[in-house]
Amino acid sequence: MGHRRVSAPHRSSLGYRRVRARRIVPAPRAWQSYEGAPKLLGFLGIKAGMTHCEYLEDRPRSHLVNREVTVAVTCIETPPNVVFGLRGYKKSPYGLKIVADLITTETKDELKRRVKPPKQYDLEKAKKKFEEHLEEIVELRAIIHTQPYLTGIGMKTPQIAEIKIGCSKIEEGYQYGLSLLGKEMLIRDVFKAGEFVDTIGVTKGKGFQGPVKRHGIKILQHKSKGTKRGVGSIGPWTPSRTMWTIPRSGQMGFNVRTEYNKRIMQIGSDGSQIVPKGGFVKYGVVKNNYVLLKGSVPGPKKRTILLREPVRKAPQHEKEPQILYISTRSQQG
Amino acid sequence: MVKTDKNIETQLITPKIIIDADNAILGRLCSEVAKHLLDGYAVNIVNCENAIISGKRHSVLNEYRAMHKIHTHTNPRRGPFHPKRPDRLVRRTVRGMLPWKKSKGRNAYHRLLTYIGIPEEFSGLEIIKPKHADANKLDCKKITVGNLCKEFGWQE
Repeated sequence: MGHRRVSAPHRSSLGYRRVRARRIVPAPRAWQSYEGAPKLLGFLGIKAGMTHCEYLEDRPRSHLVNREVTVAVTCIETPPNVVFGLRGYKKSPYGLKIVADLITTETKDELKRRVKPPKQYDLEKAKKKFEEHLEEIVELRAIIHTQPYLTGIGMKTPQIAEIKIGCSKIEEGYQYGLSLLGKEMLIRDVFKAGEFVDTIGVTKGKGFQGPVKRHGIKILQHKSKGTKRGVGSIGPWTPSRTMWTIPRSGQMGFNVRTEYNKRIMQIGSDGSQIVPKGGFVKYGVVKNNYVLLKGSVPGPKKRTILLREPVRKAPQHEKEPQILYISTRSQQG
Repeated sequence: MVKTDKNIETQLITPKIIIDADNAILGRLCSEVAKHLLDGYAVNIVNCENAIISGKRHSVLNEYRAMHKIHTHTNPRRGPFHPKRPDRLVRRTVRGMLPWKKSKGRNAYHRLLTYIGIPEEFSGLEIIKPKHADANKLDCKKITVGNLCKEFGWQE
């Protein structure tokens, strides 16, 4: 006679809060503590789709080393990001606080769709004010915007984000930030092929879902009373309330999720070499620079994804992987 | 930081005291502050991380750890909440000494602000020491609120 086991592992992770993301471009909680020549520690791109490629395995410990390996890769289109502002943070007992910021007066017209430029603004005055506070500033961030109108997805309004400027001395970082103001940053200026990045994005939204899809509980037998797509028991008689651990229906997806240490397989500028015949489904062709990341990335196609310098210890492979073949087979039937 | 009384007129009328928690015994400091609050004063406490709790380090920690276990069984996100930052911990300690279920106590509580260190806007103002809370009279082991909070994850 078989019967239900007395205890069983929980059906879904309780480590994540299943709440909707507040905005579509996430603000990361942490940045790498970088030392060295000043540089931006992140870049915004747009997820285009997935394909697969073959490359020579170069992880020295792998049993497939120096042999051809097939891996799935995600293509992220990365039109140049434009730096249009700087922001300085000081340390306070209650966390980082903004002390100074400045914006270029020469911004692109498309940016007006997202932010209203100040009418009377003196950049020189703002610079002076910024320099007065340089001593107390501990973190510098560049304010950037994307250029989705350069892609074929039909999106006009740019997304804006703050990206940390990594530097050993704040003075150096500030001069570097000033030199970037109003200029376009290419993905090659920030990352190189072979390096590792973290990807932060908002996952696919699934709406309000029941516990079977949301938590993966079992569907009960067809003779169950009331419902068969619910939990068998939502808890004991006392306490006469539902515990927070019970899988219930609610919002599924559209959460901010960070995935760590994804290897950049290739950074390229000619999209025709990687786009499948007929284009990526629900995306189209890649017109700008692109990044091929090993593995998957959270979110649907056309979602803005933040690539960030890894905050956790990444494996040491700095060589560019040798790619032998990238599949461009049609993805439509 | 916490919202104060929104009525500007009452704010202007309310006399304000700034109290230094440096080297002050936490319980005695808070009871004195509670008294001031109920008398109608607005009180700001500075240097909260330097307030002192008497007792051996491990026994104080164990007491607070036991307190942290108290939470709603069915959903811990509903509280009761246990502050882990020195300024909030001091403020919560004062709350325990006020008639929280009466509007008198709640209003008094909203007149209390607590700070880590001394904020810039208080420079030049008179900062008074609490009368009966000097920790120098203790001849036992003691721990500062800042050190206690570091154990619970506060990052200075």
